[in-house]
Amino acid sequence: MAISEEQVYAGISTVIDPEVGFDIVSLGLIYGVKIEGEHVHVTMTLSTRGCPLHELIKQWTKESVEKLEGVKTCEVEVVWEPAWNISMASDIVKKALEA
Amino acid sequence: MRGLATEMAPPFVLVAHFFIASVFFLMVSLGFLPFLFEETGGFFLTPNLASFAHLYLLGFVMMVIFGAMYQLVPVVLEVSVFSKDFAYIQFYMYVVGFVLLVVGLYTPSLTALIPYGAILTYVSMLIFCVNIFLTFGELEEINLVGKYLLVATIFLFISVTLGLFMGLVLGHGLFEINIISWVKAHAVGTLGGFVLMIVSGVALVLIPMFSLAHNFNDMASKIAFYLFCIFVPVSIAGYIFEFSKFLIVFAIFGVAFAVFATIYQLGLILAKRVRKQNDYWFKSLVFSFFSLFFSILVWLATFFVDIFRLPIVAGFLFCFGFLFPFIVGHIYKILPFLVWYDKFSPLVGKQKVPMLHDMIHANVADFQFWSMGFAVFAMLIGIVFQIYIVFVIGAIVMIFSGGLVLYNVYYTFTYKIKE
Repeated sequence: MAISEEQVYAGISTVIDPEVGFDIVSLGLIYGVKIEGEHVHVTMTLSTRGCPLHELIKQWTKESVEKLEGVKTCEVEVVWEPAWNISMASDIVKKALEA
Repeated sequence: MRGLATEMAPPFVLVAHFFIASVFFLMVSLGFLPFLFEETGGFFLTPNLASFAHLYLLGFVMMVIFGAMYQLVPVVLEVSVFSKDFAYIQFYMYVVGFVLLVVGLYTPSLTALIPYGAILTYVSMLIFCVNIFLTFGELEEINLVGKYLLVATIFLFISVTLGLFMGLVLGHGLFEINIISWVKAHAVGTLGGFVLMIVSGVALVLIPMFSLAHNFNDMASKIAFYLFCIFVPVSIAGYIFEFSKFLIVFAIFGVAFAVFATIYQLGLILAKRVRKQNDYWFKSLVFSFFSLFFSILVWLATFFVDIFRLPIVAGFLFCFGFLFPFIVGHIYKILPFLVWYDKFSPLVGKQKVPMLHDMIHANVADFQFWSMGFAVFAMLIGIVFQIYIVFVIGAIVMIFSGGLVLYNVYYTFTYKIKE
């Protein structure tokens, strides 16, 4: 059975940014998911350029998708445009950070 | 994007060397604090003050900057540090060198140690400078932060060269120099040129990263950069070649405006922060930059008002009101990351791992901040009004505050996942 975008997002939402304490989907770091059969292409960003966790977060995202049933390979592309800002995060994250 | 900042990062154990040593020498130097009251009356160069200043600045401040540089350069520049072996050699040579220097400065009968300590310290810093220069040599282009780090390292090279000459003069009387002027040039080069430029540069990366600030204008930091580049060398040359007082004061004002522009830049970044929590890091940061502002104001006043205690007040505010909370606040952020990366990152996805803020005891860090604030205030009152008991109470509370930092460093290193 083909995997859905929602399932991919659910898988990626298990990845937590250990500095901020929220999952990267709620933080609004995932810009897009493209499913081509059993291959998934994830476009994402990071909250800061030069983040020391850059490669780890990218790797965790890839692993979280490849773990899903119906996915064989996943490619993660990190982009810097448009630059991340807080308006991309979920309301829960916004509220928690501003508290 | 050239690469993997985390893969290029030096081994955890290398950076840990510098961080552990810096906290150790912080505690040793704070231990001398209650006995420094007599030096606060305004004497410029005494063995006690010179040895304490070097113990605190070389043992704590520079040590932690070296460690942070080895960690941050790969992150900021996306390139590996040229040689990790150079960094280890530098560390051990540096510790032996500056300890000899401090012992020589402190003990009148052992002044012969000063040149040996100065040479070893100098060579170790030279290794650091060469390592950083060769790292920069691998870059095709350098961003603003990189420029800050590069120019700061050039100023370090110049000012430690002055320090070496002074060490040789004090030990063997090899040259005829105006030692007071050279000390001032050495201080401007090291503190204004190296320490403040490093702080300004890394703040541009770390403060937006930790506060999640975006879309801020960085014009003030660009202006500050050029002011540092012009006026630090002019100030150093002014003292060494004994320019007119007007020119020296003009150059010092240039450096001061560079600092004010940096503080303004910090305000712009913090105004855009998304994380609004006023945690121990944020409080330490704000306290440190207020202290820096007042320290610079007092320093400028020394050129117009002949009160011999003013330089001591400016130096005290700089060392304990600015450097101490700025460094400690960032140790609370950087150290958990280093330990987490080494110990817990391989466990991600396999078991529950802690968040970085879990690895600092927040209540202890908060208490440490308030005790530090009290200690700085009490010692300042003690210095300004020359009240011995108030100064000593402040110094003892400062030791206590340092002990709380030590506790949190231990807490982070030994952090275990709770079942």
